Amino acid sequence: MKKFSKILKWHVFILHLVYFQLMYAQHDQVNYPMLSITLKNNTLEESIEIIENNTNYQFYYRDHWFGNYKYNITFENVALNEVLDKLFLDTKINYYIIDNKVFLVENTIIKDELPLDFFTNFNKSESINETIALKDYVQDTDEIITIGKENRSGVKSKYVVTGYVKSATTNEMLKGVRVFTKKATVETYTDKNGYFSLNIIPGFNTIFAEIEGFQTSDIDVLIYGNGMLTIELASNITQLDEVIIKSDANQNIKKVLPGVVTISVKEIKIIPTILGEMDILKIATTMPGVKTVGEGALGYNVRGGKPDQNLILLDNAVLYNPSHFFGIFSSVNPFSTGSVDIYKGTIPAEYGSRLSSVIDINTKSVNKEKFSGQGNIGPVTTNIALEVPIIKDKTGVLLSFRSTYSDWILKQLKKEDLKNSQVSFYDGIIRLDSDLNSKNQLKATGYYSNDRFSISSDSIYKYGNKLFSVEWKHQLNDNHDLNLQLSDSNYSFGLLYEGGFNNDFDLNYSVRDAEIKLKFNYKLNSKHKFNYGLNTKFYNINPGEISPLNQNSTIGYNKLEKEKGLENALFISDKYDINDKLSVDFGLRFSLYAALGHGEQNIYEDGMPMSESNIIETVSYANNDVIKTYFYPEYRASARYTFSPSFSIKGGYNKSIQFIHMLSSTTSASPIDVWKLSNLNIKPQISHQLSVGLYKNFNQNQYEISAESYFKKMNNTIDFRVGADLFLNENIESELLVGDGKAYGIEFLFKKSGKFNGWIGYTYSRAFLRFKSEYLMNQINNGNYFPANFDKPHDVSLVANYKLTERYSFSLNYLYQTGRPITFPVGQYYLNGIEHVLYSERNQLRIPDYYRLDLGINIEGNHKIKKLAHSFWNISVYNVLGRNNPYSIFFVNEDGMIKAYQSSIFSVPVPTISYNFKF
Amino acid sequence: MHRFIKLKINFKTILFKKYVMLIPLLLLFACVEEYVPQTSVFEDILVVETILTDEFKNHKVTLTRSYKFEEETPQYETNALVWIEDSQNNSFHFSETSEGIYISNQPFMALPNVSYTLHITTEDGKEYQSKDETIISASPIGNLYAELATGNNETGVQVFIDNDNQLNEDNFYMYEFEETYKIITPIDIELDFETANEGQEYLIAWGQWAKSFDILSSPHTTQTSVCYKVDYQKEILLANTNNLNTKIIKFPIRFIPYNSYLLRERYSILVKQLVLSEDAFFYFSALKKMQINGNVFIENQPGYVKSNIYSKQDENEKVAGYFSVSQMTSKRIYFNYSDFGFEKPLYPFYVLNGQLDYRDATWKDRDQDDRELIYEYINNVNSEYTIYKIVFTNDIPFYYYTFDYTCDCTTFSSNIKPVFWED
Repeated sequence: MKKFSKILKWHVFILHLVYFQLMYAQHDQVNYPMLSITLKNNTLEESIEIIENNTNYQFYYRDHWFGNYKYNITFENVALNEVLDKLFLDTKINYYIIDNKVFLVENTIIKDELPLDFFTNFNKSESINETIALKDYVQDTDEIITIGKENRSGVKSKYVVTGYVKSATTNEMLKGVRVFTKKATVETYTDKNGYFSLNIIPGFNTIFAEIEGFQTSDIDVLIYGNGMLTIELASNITQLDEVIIKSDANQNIKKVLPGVVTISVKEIKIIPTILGEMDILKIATTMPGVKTVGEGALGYNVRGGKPDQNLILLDNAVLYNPSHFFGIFSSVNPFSTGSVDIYKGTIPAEYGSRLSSVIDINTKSVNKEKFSGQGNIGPVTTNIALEVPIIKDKTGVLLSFRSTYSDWILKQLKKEDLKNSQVSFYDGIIRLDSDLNSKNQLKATGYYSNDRFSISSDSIYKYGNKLFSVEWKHQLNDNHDLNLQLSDSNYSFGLLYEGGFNNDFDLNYSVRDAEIKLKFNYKLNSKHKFNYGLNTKFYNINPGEISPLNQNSTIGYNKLEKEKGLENALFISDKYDINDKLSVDFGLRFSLYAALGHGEQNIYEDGMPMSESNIIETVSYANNDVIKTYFYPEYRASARYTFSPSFSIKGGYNKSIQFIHMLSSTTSASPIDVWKLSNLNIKPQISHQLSVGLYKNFNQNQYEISAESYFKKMNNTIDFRVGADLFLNENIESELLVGDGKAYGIEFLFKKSGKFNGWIGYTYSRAFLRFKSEYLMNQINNGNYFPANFDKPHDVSLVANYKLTERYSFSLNYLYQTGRPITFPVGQYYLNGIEHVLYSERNQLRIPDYYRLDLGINIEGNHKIKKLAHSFWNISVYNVLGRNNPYSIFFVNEDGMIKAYQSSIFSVPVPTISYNFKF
Repeated sequence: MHRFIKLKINFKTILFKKYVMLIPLLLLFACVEEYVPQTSVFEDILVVETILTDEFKNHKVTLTRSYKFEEETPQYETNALVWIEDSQNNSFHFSETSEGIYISNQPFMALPNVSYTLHITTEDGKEYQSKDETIISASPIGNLYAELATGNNETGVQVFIDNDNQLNEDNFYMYEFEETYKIITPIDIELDFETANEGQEYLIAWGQWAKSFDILSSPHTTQTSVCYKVDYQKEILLANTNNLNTKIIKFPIRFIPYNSYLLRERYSILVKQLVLSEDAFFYFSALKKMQINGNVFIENQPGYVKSNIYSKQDENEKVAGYFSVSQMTSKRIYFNYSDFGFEKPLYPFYVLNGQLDYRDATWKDRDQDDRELIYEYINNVNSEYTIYKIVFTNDIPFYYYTFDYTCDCTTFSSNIKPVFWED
């Protein structure tokens, strides 16, 4: 015998329960077993037990419904339903039989205690308040789950159950939860608000809610009509937050947009760490289509795009530099990160201003119920994150901070040259979440990161991000909601040079953008969902300021004029479900950019290269005068056709415009690369991408397989003449080369979930650039297409995780990539008394192929629930094979003689132990 | 006026200058190794070194070829036809005076408002030509001076150049210097020696033969104790003016540490200012940037820098070097250590002062065979030593010897006093 209290592991809130009607009609078609039993002074409960013992039927009920009435009755060959009819004749109990289960329902209790209009006036937006009211009620009565109200016009073939899935511990709405019933194999996934909608046949159903990192919930329900259900999932309490890649795993079949990768912080342990630093963005680079130039390289190359072509958002604010210490660590704290969405194919119309992708990082929503925290102690950093409720269930704050102690270690080293070096970084996040009321939610995030390093004793580099954002969500009505976002983002770097001669200086650069975005989601009907709005972004760049560091310095104070620009956009998109199988998503974005004064702009002779000698005149613009405007429509379209619930095809077209450009004269991006706005002489970059993909899941979505292919064209991409000076150069356009690019590729991904989980990705992709000009000096490789620095045709990544027991799990990461192209020396020559290296055409040769194997073990502490803190040890070995992967090859002229050097970042196996805890 | 800023400092260079890479902790795992690159793909290209100035003289064009990393020095491009044409239909022909060095048959100079093109036809018939280049005039070189300076934990003399740019134009300059320093050897050669009357070898000890000879001495007549050495710069020096940096002030040319032997006697530096075109400036600054092109994390994008000299048969053929037509002005200064209050720098070598005894003709006495060494040093048999005097002690001659370069500066420099030299 099972009791509901046992079945209901989860709190289930019943939001629509008014009348219900048992569907006796179903009984008619069923042959019930014949019973011969004798009841002698038996209570109802005992009688049911006797029936259970004599049949293979199980009863589900709450015993306190039963009175103390004792039965004395004998049945001879009576059908089960007749027996039950007799037993419940004088009670308020009804029953419902399905398969071999008998559900007993006392239907009148709930109705008696709740006012009728409470439900009839119910709407979604009130649910939060009402949920609290109902919660106590439900807990007190442990009522059974029935959904729907009587529909006197008759029983429909299907009803809609809608609701939310949230985390029982943090109250965070859970995205991507698979909600399904076994019976009719209906399934859906919660959207980013945790909302789901499920079509269910009437009668008894078991609703499952499943997502990794949480215990699966199975809720038995009786469906009588449309209704609502909020499901709370308890996390696997023994586990720390983990990052799981669900690259769309959940919705990979159904979502309309092709080329979306979703990583949620659930299973960060899945990948062995470098020096104990868990890094969610590093996991992203194991997914097809997301690459880096090399281990230490800053930024990401998405589908043949440059690192500056990714819109990296941290809670809606632009993160200009996502890395600490060049590109070794990501500057996003893993403990405060909730999820990362990467749009590498069709980008939603609400996003603009970058060509290749949107990397949308969301910090995690705050646990407003109880104080909690987690931390990590590793060899490089210590990291701590705390979640503090301020007003219980309403307002909470997330605080996280991470800092290196490498400087301290350096001081202990005996080596003199190392003592003079310094490397340090830290970052911190504060996020405030407040549920103002059921219709309004407020979220504010502040982020700060700082890096400082010095390689030689005479110069110190420093750089950092400062971000601030506020988001207000407001429910206008059932189908319409509003989202207002304000963000301010700042990236700056500086160089302090103290050589001791007369050229000591302090150099500073900063880029800042402030954005306001107003967005509406409007559900016109079940077929059309609109997303529309507008945004305005104001750029303000301080392109360089140099000042003498002391009196002896002959460096004059110099400051380049600020660059300002205003980027406005209107956007609208419509997700149109044409039928069950075919959905389309049309997006349109109008971008209007204006470069603003003050400023001086050179006008060059038509058709001549932009060099000083070809300047016809220089025009001055007053403050906020419009220097130049650019207007472009951007089209975003995608379509999906599902052959079956587990098999679909998608296609998309994406056009994007970019008005801000990172100027880099190095082979990979660096933290001291400057950003430059489009102006009279620098046109915006434009890209077009066509992509198509096939998606298939097997075995209840345990296996996922996908193949995506894309072709991309880019115009007005920027490169530089060799040896260009990008700092404090007012006529930077004279060193600039404008060209185009093309990229194409095919990406395969196979994923498995379960105890042994992970993925294998293979990508074949190419990325080419072309700089053609009638002026030979402005050409690269004679105006022919050449492979970009990040063109790595073959890319294989394997991530595997095996959970041996609750306490031990093993992880493995293997990466293989074709060596990146480099411009290689093809000889040397002697000129003016100095040896010079003669280089090949740009990117003509490749460095050797890259491969690396990392292994890791996670050892969990014991699993006593009452323990103060849960903890685990992570032991990783990075580059187990000790492969000396060349990262770069460079040349230095020492006293007129050329010396060649080859560098690699981690050339030996790097073992690490780190300790992680959670409380 | 338009603005044009090109800072004199290459910021990334500063980062990489001191140490190629030394980043702690992580770099305990990182690895930078020097290696000898194998020239797997070798490109053999023409290298042209020339600069046509407004000096009336026989101008020079040097033609070499690129060479492999495994090779020490370049091959010269010989037997080429070299001439310069100007826009007034004059041709100035060059003749090869030594391998790869072509000197104009007549002296001439670059004139204003006349454009010049360089023409080269190599022995294998390939024709090369430069673009038209015209001289750009600018303010002449300004003040050249030396100051006491301290930097990077070193004290020394810093030579600076100023250019007040009175014409107030945006100009591009390349600086070249040659430094000349006087050398006085610590030891003077008193006598020259030669051997004569070599006798028969005789057995002097068990298993060792000796040989007698006469040692003749004569007064040392050539001047070998005062010399002048000329060195050239090992880096490209570039500067420019624009309307924000309207003048060149304290542009550093050369730093000499306080203990450098260059300052021991007298030092002179000649600085030449060459006015470049914008394109020439770009060309040389690109070469300069690639002289130091990376560290572990950042690698400046290297590449071939397009020259203004191109092959007439194939425009895409690579050529190294730039044909620049430049105004040249120069200045020279002199100084020595005492001008800056330094102590007299020491010789950069050990002053050896050994003596040899003719009577000692065996090594069997657990000592070197002095007589054999005397023979070798006098006759320069596998020897870096010179015998410079005799000292008689109790009527026994002792032959004093030292390193060649300690007593004879002509072994590494010239004993001819340069015409410009002022003591």
